[in-house]
Amino acid sequence: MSTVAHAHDHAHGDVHEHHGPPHGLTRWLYTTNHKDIGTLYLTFACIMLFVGGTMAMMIRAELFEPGLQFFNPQFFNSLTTVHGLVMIFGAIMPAFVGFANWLVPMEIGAADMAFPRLNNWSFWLLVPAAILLVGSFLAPGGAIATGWTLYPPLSVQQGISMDMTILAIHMMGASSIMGSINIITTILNMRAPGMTLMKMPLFVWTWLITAYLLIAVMPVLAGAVTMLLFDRHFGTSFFSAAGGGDPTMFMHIFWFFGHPEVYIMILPGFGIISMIIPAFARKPLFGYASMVYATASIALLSFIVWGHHMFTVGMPAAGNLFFMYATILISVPTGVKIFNWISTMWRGSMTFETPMLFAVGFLCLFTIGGFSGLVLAIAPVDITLHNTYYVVAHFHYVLVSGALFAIIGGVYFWLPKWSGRMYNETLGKWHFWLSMIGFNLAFFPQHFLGLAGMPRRVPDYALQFAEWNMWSSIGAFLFGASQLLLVYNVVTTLRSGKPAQQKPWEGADSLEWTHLPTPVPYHTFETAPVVK
Amino acid sequence: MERAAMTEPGPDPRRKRAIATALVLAAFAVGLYVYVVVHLVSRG
Repeated sequence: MSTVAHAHDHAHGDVHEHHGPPHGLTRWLYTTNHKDIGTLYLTFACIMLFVGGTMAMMIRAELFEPGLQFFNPQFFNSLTTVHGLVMIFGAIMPAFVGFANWLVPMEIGAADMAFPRLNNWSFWLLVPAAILLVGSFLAPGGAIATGWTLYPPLSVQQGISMDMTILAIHMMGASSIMGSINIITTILNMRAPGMTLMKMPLFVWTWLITAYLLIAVMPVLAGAVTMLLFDRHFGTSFFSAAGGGDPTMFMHIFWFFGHPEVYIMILPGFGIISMIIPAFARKPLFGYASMVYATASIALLSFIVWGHHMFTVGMPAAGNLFFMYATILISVPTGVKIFNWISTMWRGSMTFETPMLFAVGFLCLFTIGGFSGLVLAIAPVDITLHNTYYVVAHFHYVLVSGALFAIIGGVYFWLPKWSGRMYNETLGKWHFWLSMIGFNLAFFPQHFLGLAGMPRRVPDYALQFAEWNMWSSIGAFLFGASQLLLVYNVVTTLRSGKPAQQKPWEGADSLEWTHLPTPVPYHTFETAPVVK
Repeated sequence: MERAAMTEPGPDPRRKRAIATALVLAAFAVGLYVYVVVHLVSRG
């Protein structure tokens, strides 16, 4: 990790007080400040988290007991579909971009992102896209009910909501690509003198690799949904077997995007955890270089494993074997990261404030999600478990206790730096433990349901699945309700939290902690620091 | 390299390199999109 030669920037906040943000709505509409745009992204992600979370609560209410309680099957399928799309494209990804906007310039010693206006445009594209996506519930026929994978032929047959979703995906994809170009350009060109690539904080490294992943796969998704649009409206049959097309081709293209997308949603989380654990273990990150290479290896391997989502479509045995072994191979660099985090904690002077609790929770639960991923990677096992609740349990362990726990831990970790105020630690710990209990109660039983054969994407189920579904729903309600504690804690912190110290976490050592006052002024690093 | 903000007036030695980086990345993204579509068109 880097050390800073001279901390001459402390007074920057005072010097540039006259140069603060404009007031009112125009500040947020026209802002080109990376901190403002980071706040916009994080606020947007929080709103979408609760929109998607409300859908999750509706899904679990319907599944609380067998039989149809509240919704017809079509609407239920719309809920599962839009819940997935909203959480992926509306909550998790924008939240990580929010972190990138806030932290990347500060952690490399830059004044802002390389293209501030492009940055503003990237964010504001998301808002109409989200309105299109969620608003499609009001379209004739309701929202799409294809599942987030948009498989044809169902996606060709859906109503106008499919067109709204395709447009929304194009807009969100364009936003992601522009954001990624901005992040890569910033990291490659705007680092402070002395901030070599191998001195960058790991959060910056994970985002650099994630941005490359985004640029490599988002155009592929855009191409696939463009073709879908052509099949729907312009008489082509790219994915229609009746017209000589091939629906399986869509699946290949979709998952060529879809699997790297999983790593797009988890690698920045790895970066956040790699910042939190050393700070609370009061030790440098163990195996920094191996963490960088492991992250890059995971990203590269993510391009050659898409077929593990398609073991049941009838690929040749050699194809299934290739994707099986390639998938299992990913556990090697992932294991390197897990062991490095544990080694960082080993014999550290550890304390367990809320960010560290979420980091340790992440470590335990993500490992469970990783192991169930290994189970599903085994082709003959997957043929049995495919499309069951075991898969639902697996990806929620990876993405909720992985991505979301990392995001929440990161919010608690950096909130004092961002706002200049300390959050309520007791409330934070309540939030963690209620989340931990609620999450495990919601999703661990789904392993049992899947192993027993309960299919996913159904609003009704056989009686033998009733008990675990009831517990799963109770856990989901607890998990959902406990997230209100986060909102309450953040809002009360911003309004009346106690002033935070310059560096509230003893072991934190990246530039934003060592080199900038708390709260960080509106403009930082107008003169680049020198890093040794 | 002592200047930090490329948004400030006046020439910045990193500006050209940053724009070149962005253009290469954008060209890759657009090229990939076109490749996927054209590849599918050729199959259709």
